[in-house]
Amino acid sequence: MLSERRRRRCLVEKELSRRNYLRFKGVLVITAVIALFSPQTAGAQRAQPRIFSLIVSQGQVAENSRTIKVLEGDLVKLRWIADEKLTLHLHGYDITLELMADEPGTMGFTAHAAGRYPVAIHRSTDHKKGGHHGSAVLHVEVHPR
Amino acid sequence: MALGLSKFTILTGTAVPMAIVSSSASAHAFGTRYDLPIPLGIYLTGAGAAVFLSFMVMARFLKHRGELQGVFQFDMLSLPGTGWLGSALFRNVLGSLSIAIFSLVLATGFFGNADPLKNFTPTFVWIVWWVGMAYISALFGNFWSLVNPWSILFIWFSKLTDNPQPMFRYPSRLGHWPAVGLLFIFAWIELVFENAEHPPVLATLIVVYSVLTWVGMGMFGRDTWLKHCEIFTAVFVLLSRFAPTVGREGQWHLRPPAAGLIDYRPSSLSAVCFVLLLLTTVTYDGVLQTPLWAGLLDKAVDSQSQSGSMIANWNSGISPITLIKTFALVAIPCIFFTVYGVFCHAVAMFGSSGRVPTRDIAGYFVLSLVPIAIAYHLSHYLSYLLITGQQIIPLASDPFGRGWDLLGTADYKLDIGILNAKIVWYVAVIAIVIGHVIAVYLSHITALWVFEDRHAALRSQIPMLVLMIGYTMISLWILSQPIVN
Repeated sequence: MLSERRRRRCLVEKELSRRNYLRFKGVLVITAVIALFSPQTAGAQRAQPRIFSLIVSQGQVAENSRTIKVLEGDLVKLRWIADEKLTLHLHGYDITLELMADEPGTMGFTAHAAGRYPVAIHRSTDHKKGGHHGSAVLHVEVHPR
Repeated sequence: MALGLSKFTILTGTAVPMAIVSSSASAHAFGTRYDLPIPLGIYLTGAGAAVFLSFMVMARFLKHRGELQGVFQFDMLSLPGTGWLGSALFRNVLGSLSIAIFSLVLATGFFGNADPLKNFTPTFVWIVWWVGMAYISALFGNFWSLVNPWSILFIWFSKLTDNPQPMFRYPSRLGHWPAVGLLFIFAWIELVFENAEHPPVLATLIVVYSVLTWVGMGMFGRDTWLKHCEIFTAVFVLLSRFAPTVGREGQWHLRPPAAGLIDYRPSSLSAVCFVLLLLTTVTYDGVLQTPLWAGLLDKAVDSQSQSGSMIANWNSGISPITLIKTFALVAIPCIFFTVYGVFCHAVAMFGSSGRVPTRDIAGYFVLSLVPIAIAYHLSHYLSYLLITGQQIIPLASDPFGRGWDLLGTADYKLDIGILNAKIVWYVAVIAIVIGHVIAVYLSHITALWVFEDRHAALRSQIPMLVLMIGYTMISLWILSQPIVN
């Protein structure tokens, strides 16, 4: 008797949670649709992030990735991995990323200003000169649309 | 650390070419630049426009029948409400401000933060003053003569000591040669010397130059020294001959741009050398940042390291890159001078069958090259001045780099989006094309003065036109190259 009631209540709860889930899903879809078409977020949501994977070995990246070209307004993700501990600095946008040996790290930014920006390597031994003129490992070229 | 890398490469003999390319320190003394190279389409359009407009100028002179006329000018201080600009009080206020900044530059240089980016001195000297003053001189007028701290301090000192007379007469055969020599040293410090951005080094150099200037002024008289030997007066006065205003005997005249570059007397050989050296250093700065140069440098270091002679130099404390850059700083002006000489000889032959000596021709036409150099200079440094130059805003609040915030601007972050890249491209190409047209025009005016008749003058301009088109093409080409720091 008691178990029957419990069983029924259990079913009701299940049904309720299913409805809640559906309702939640609906809200999610509507939010996504609004987000997609609303003007403020359109740029950020629509643009596919431009992802570049970069391997630094002995202070250099592969020959074909020494100039990275993107367009103004692009969402850019630079995924880095290096064979030694170093600090990378994207000049202009002024983004610093500290990398441990063989551990990946990501620089993400919206390319809001056109230009040609070097990514410099700063090692801990560079302190003598203020550490701001490390060698450029690559350049990010942001071209106007 | 740039050097550390190339040192490593050379010593271990595992010369990795790109390591040296990427490690060749930035050619200009200080700061990073973010310019995008000019795209091919705009470059070709600019080049085509330069050639086309050259022939338009030439065609205009084919029909030109009038005599040379005096240039329009108008005294702006005769306008109501502008009299105070010419007053002694205004000059004294400007002068005092200049001395205050001069003192600050020395104080922060010696006692401020050693990091060049956290110190007022490098940004002020290399960007605001050296690049900024060139803009002011070329676009507005000879402002430097009002604020030259060496001149002002010497005047103050003279007043205190009852105006001592100069000890010696300036030997006239020295001409402008001292300025040529000093300009070469200055160019070496700006473009080759690795420590030009370090505040204490920079402040020491300023003190050395100040002592030299004051001793020179004491020996030969202030005006003589300023005219023949003081580099910055010589540079900014030359650039301001392009400007649309000129100050003269308490008057301030408005005139057509570049009118000041028309000179009916040939410049002396030393003055020609000074102008050509200044023009080549402007080009040299650009060439040193191109991938072509980086590749050449790389090859040179590579072959030298194999032959082993560089290692000897390295051990003696001279970096191979410094050595090669110094060599280029000597070689490029020599090449430029030779090319100019050959073309001047051609002008003399075409225009007068050699009756006007080539040396005079070189003196007559050298100033007509200045507008191309100015246009290139303005284009090349526009974004550097307006973007990297923003560093002066936070530094004004914290000149010594000690965490002060005097003006509330210490936390200012550089706005790299201040200039639209497309606008920079169009401004650059339009400026160079206009500079080129003005150069061709000035050269024609001069030719009409120098040669007997219109036909001779026009004939003489064929080689000059080839030279100028070549010069403009090189300037445009540099702007179309990605900058290798």
